[in-house]
Amino acid sequence: MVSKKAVVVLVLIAIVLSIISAAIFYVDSDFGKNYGTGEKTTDSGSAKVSIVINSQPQEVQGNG
Amino acid sequence: MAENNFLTVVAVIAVVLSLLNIGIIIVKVPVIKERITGFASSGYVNVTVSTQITINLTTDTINWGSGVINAGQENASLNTNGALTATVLRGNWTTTPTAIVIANIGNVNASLTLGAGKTAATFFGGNAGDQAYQWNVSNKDVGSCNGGTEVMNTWRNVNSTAVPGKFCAQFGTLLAANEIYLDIKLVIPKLATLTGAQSDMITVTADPAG
Repeated sequence: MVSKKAVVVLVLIAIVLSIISAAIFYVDSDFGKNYGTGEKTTDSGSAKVSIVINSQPQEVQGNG
Repeated sequence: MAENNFLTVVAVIAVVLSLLNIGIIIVKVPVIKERITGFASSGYVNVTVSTQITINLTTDTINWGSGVINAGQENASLNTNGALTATVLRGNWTTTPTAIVIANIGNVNASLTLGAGKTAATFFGGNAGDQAYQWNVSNKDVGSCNGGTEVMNTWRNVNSTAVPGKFCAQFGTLLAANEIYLDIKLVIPKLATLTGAQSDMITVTADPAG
């Protein structure tokens, strides 16, 4: 003799498993995902020019 | 009683089916995805490839290091030479810098404009006649850059036009024709008022071709 409680528990288990199943499908597949158009019509970059400029040594004046 | 037993059987079947469902999904989703993206025996696959303008500065730094103008000289001249050794005249800066390299790695032709943050006057100060800050755009790959309003293969003062100069109207994307050199030349005056560490940023902008 199976009680009503056992039937309810089984039905609940079935519902939970169905939800898990749907969740796995949603996460693991592309269902419902929107990848957008991916269009990109401009781009930019930058480059650096650097230098260290030291002072020119003083020219020594001769004395004859 | 009979109704209760029937419900029990239905519930058990539901549980078993749910378990089976989970198993099928876990096993088959990757297979389904693979078939959607790569399996076709016949029929149509409708794919739209979006426009992608993307540039990559594969060499983005020119660092001349530390140096001084040779004694008795009015200025020193430094310039990169594509991938070759740089030229340094009348000074002792390093000759290791190579040109900036710009590649079109998008999927469509693009136009290319350049802008510098400084001019020779704001880079060095001093006498305008003894100094220069110039660039020179040339093809690294033959046929990479075409149709710009700025002259290629010629040293030109940076920012010589009010509007950033367009060097390429058609900057190609083919693998063998999608790279250009941006060489830089500095003429440093003996009487530079801005000494010590100096730098500038050059901005490269890619827009739709034409």
